Amino acid sequence: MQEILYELSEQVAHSVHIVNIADEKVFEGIFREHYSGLASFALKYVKDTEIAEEIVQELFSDMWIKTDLLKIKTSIKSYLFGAVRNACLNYIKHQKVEQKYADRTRYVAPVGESTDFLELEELKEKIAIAMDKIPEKCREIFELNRFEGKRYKEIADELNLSLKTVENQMGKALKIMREELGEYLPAVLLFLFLHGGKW
Amino acid sequence: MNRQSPHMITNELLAKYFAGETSDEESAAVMIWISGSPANEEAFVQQKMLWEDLGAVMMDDATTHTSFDVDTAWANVKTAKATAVSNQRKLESRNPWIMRIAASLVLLGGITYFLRIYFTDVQMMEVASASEIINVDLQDGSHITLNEESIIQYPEEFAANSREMSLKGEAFFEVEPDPEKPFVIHAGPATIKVLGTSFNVKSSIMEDTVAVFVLTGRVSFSVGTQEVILTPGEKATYTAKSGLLASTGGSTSTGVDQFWRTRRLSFAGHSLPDVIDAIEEAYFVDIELENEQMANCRLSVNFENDSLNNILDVIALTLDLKVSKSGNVILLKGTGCPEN
Repeated sequence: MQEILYELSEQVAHSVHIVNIADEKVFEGIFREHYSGLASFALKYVKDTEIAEEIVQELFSDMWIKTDLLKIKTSIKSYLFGAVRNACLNYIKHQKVEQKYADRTRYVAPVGESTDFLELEELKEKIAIAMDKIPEKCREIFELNRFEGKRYKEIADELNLSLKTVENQMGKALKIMREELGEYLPAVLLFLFLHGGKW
Repeated sequence: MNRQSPHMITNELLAKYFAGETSDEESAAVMIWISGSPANEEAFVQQKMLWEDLGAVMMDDATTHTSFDVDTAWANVKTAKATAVSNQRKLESRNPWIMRIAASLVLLGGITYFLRIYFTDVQMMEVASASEIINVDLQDGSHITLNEESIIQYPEEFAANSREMSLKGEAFFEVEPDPEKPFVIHAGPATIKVLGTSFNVKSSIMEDTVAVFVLTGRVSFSVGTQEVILTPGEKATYTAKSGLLASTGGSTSTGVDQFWRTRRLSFAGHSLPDVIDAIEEAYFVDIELENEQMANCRLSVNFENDSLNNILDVIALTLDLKVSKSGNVILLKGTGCPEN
């Protein structure tokens, strides 16, 4: 997973790729190459293997049914991860209300000709810029928790801080991230709302 | 409780909650805040999304490695494509207003819904059962009995050369013969094709299986390149995990495969373990035998619309057993029967 993400950030393309997915061989090749990576990525959002796989499969079947040519700004990987991310966020959004019907509801937003959503590339850039706004110590704490999965207690011990300070700094980091990144989330949601994402 | 009023919440508490570091009391405070107003709930969901997003996009996850079955996944995608094509294309032309209604109907839950999805050229019908069994009559004279928690989708008018539909869950089909138009059911990765017959299809999302049981006629059951032809009394199951489609015959003579529809179980000299298997499947319970000797006991009796307690009483009386319950398990005690 990590490997794929690093690779992604190295592929900076300026032109638009056109991928002919109407060709089954091409499409199957793309599917086989990216399926496991995408499903692992979705799993991080939805925490359920079955749902993660369903989301990725639905994305591909939708893409295949509705699209012949994909126009992609960066790379196919970046595009696919962006689309999976979108579907997962939509899933989280509906999770609370519709838990019972999870398996009956479609979370994949339609894939059109243009990529109306953030590709992973752009998103990572935006996150990096936002992270720079967080004061250094606060950022360190946030990264240890959010990116390395460390518990509050471990962070407090490691940095020789009180638990209360860790709690406090995490809250502060969340606030800054919300302020810095808040604008792109509603945009995603609006997109999902307007375009359905349900049958 | 907590220093937050129901209308206020600190970033600190919210971050702590998302990180899974809150005490029960603090979690309760977050829950109270969420239920305080739709705006609170909206704010919560947005921040949860942001939180999960940051983790998923940036997290170092060398530790977690799940392996996925790419072949099965690909088969699923191909089936979805094939179903969509045969169901008559172009989902983007669906009326978004109708879609919104469809969504809100789904939310009603518990209630059976029945709706039409409008396509450019074909009207799709969808019937979903919640907690009841539903009978569906098709325009060609075929009849579907849809078990609880199941969904069937079919075009209001069948195409000229086939009668295709898709099923999630379990249904019993009585198909009107029509050699010109094969009757085709898509259930997960499986395709079931017949000319005219009656049979049962059960696709389980939880267990990733599709099972077909045939009462009359001949049925082709295929997944990818695998195919079995089933004749009356035969049953086959496809298991996604193994990717295998195999005949699983056997247990059908007790009627347990059709119990959901008929409420009937019939035993004719069946061994007690077979009887218990059937009852467990029919009534969703766990039953255990106290000793091995009891496996020699045989039973001939028919049950129809009987309660579980009645059935257990009859068995206990017939074989001189005692029934006791501990937790979710029913235990049958007795001396058993001599070997035969």
